[in-house]
Amino acid sequence: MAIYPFAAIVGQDELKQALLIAAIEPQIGGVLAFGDRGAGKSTAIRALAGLLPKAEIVDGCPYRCDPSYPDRFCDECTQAAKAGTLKTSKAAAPVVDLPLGATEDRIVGALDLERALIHGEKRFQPGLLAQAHRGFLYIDEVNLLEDHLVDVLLDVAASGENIVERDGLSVRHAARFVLVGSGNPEEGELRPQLLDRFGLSVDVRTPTDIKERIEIVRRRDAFERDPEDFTKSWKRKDSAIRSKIEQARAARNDIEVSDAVMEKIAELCITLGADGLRGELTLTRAARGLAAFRGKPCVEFDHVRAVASLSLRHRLRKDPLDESDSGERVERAVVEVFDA
Amino acid sequence: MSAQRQVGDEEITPAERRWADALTAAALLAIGPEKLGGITLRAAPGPIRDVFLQNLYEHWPGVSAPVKAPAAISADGLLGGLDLSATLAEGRPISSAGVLERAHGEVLQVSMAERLSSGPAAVIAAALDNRVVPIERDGTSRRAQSSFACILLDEGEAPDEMAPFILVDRLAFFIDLNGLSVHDIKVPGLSAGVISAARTRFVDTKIDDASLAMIDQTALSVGVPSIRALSFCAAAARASAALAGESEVREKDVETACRLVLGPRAVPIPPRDDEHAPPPPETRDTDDKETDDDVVRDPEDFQDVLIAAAQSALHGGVFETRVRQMRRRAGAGGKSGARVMSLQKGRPVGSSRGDPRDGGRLDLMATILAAAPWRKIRSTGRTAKTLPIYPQDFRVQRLQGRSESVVIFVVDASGSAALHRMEEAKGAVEYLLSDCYTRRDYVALIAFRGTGADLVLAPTRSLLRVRRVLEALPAGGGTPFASGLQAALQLVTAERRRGREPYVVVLSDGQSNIALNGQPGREAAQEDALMASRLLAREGCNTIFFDTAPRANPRAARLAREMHAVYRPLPYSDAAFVSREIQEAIRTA
Repeated sequence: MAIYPFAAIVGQDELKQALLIAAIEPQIGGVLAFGDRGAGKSTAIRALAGLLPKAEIVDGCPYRCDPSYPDRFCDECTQAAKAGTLKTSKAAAPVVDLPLGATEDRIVGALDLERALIHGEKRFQPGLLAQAHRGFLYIDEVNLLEDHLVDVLLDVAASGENIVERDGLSVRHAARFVLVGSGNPEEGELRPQLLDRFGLSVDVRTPTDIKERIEIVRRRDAFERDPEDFTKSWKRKDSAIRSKIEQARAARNDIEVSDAVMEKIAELCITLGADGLRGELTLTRAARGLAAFRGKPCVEFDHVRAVASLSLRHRLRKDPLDESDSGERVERAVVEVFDA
Repeated sequence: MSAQRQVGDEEITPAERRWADALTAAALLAIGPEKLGGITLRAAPGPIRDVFLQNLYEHWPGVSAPVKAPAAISADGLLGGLDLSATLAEGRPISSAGVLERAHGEVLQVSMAERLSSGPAAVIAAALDNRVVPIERDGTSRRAQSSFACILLDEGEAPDEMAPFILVDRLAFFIDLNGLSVHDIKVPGLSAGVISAARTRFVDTKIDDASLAMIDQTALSVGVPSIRALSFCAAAARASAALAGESEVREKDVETACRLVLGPRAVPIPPRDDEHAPPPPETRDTDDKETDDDVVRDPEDFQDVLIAAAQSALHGGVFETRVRQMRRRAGAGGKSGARVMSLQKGRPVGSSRGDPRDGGRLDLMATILAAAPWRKIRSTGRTAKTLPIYPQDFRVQRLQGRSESVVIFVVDASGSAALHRMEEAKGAVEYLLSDCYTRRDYVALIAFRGTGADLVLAPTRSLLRVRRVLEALPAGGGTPFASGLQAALQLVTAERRRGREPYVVVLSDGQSNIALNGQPGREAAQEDALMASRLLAREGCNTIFFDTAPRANPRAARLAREMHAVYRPLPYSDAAFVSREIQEAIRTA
């Protein structure tokens, strides 16, 4: 399946920004894109796969072990390291699809059936969680995911480790990934525990500008006609974004966050009554990611403003009697805090 | 072909017109299936539907018969799974192809699509989007090509019984054949060769920006902002031009596309101020009279023509109705029956050693996994390729009931229950939902007013839907208490069948003045109310009766007693208080 170029996506600025921030700052805790049908949520998310920078991995390791952390190696890598046969290479971070209808054994991993049947050998076959390690795990229609699978995800997302005790196997391996979910609220609410897992939340709306809408249809059509040619014509722009991500990733830890900015962030969270530390942490990280992307040495107020809705809209206490949309509530608070 | 309208437009009857539209849609789909997705065909099984399907498949180049899927299809059926006999025979895992894989390059036809549940529907929707299905099941991990057009046979009768919106939205056309008879149709069917030729032309048929802008303006004007609908419309216009042998889209094509694609999606024009809103126009507007002359028109006029075309569809607003889940007919919930094999149902919590003959369901994977390690030992002396399975290897699925509950609100929306109590009830429903959606409870709302009861909100967990429906909830008129209870009763039985435990919460002042038959009369009404209460009591579900009268009403207390309900006189209070009371009552009931 050809991937639509990220740079060719018309509009959807908030979603694009959220995805870029997650690519720069994987610790942000994932992106949720909820909203209108047919607005191109999954196209944008899948497009990200073409942009993710390469990272060092142990060659051929099914768990995508990171050579710079020998203490986190899987058994095979540990042995290979001892024997001095460890080979490393660079590979792009994956965007792994977790499709609805996937069974639990394929998600967490299970006994390798083929080997068991043919060779009578007990061997673990890693699942999607292992494949997604150090990359992205994408679930479309995330609100339709079966509850027991959500439980598994919550567990692993919280610990960064997948522990398998089944079919007489006992396996544990690192599974740290950026969780990306999309869906339409008409199909049902997301479980609060899962909602909480997402660092950033995007409210996806269908654009209403006719020119923009026509451009979307035209580009989509051109892509479907000749994916190769279309992708080629956007290659330069896509690689420009990729190198910006790479630079931002390298720079993100050196970006300064002044006390003044920290205070504003705290004030904003208090004004909104956004629960706990996580809101502040996410907002800080997101603002830092954005500053890094824009090539700035320190976080400015504008960066905080730009990512406030993304970071906080799903952390507000739900007030069913307040009709206004939570994004608007955040925007109101932003004006109050920054313009007062 | 389809709309050989030159047959004499003036003589064409509305029925023939509908039939011609249906055939046009079929032709356009056969020309550009990969761009148009498919058709939701709403029709009762019968000759007219058969004739339509016959026309559709006969003239579809490269397709002779559809790949069929039943509505009760499981994830296994859609995506494939481990093939038991092949696996045992070969001694290595062999998986069978699912329906989605087999439908590649073909047409997938889902029967009784109104019964399709959201899990399988979402899987089909993803395949329509990506044309590839990732299969991650039972130890298999692969991607299968799956590009197909989808025909949903929707046999629903009530407006709320409809194929899942997640799929309907992904198919360009929505055709309703209900009410049409084979005797009505004189329009000639499709002709085969034309479609084949049009299909080759389709790829190079262009649509100019001005036409696209026209379409988009129309879509936005009739309340269809979806980009997907816009793409469908553009593709339908191109297919229409290709069908006519043109290489560029003409006004006529744009109009056809707007009528066929936007028509069913358009938001109906709100009725005028009349209290009793007239039913939506049952006959097609006459706008199409002018369509066949190729006079160059003023763009603005043409825009109006397009909007009229998009709004003229007989079944305008079906999408909107679906979105809002406004369930007009009470008790319809009972008809959709148990959701068999929903992807979300029956949570397996592992498997244990057991005998499948005792009624448990064999866990194939686990059984094979249990037998596999012993293969070498058990096969000694033999060179069998097969996997020996012994009785002790059998593993049976353990399923854990999710013990979901559904809270059914039965709310007095009549004139007697003053409007502000209605507001409280609305608030309570919302409050309760947001409070306990952590527990994944469902909430349903039945309102009785005028001469009957409506299931205003079918069991849902979506806050958004609740909010939308509540906003639009009307109040006033007589008090048909018994009808309200009867509707609740139907829903209770339906929900039990689905495996959910119902709780009934009645908010009323105990007054009643409309009998079950819809006739006014205090005495008959109260008798019916008592009878309905007793019937509800017989169901034995937890019921709470909130007396909303300003002062506690002995009549309400009596009704509560008859329905074996917990009785709570409700002082004037806020929604939060009502919600707390309800939760307390549920806990203690």
